[in-house]
Amino acid sequence: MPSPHRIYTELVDTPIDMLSLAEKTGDPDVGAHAWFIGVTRRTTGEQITQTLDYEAHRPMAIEQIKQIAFHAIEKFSLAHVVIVHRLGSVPIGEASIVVGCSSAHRVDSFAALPWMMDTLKQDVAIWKRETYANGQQQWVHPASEPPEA
Amino acid sequence: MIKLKIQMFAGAKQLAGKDVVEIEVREPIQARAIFDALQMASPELSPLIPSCRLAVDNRYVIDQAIIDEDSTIALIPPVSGG
Repeated sequence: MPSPHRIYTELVDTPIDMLSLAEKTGDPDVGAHAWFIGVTRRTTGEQITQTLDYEAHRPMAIEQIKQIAFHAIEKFSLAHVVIVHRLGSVPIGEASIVVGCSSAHRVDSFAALPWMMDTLKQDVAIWKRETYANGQQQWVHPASEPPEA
Repeated sequence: MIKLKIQMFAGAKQLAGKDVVEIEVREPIQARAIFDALQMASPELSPLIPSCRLAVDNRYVIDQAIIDEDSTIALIPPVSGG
């Protein structure tokens, strides 16, 4: 009999511990594990990023993330889902988000990752602010004011 | 008139200069009226408000929604998680 579905979601204020998450999609009845790790990138066009700062409407964001995980399980026949988002300051190269899932067959896990990330970026009440090497800061959303010193 | 406290986040908080903006609206409280009242109470939010959504008790609502005065209400600028 297949193992029950497992969902693990968390908002953290410290570096994301990938090793502790890897086992959360483990299951003798799955044949595929897939992971996406979103990290702070140094360059955006000609701008050099120093750090990204993430802010959330915490109770809303964690509820939305759980809903995404539940919907992904149903939509893609997943066995397990992990979604962890880091808040606060995330230096270059460090992870702001880790999304993992497992399923009986690889096609489902492959398809689930972009859907979960796209949905998260459209709806979850989390925002990021870029701080550039020249000291300018900018909230990353379409109606942002121009960068300010 | 009913007094409400609207939570601010990210760029909205920066523009308003505070975590919470207080507004006054008539009953029944409609989401659309909250946007109008926010513009009156904090004109600095005007450039951002057209692209914002309203969340009531941690869920997005449409402009026509009727809102209970005891709800937790937040102005949600375009999100950028991930």
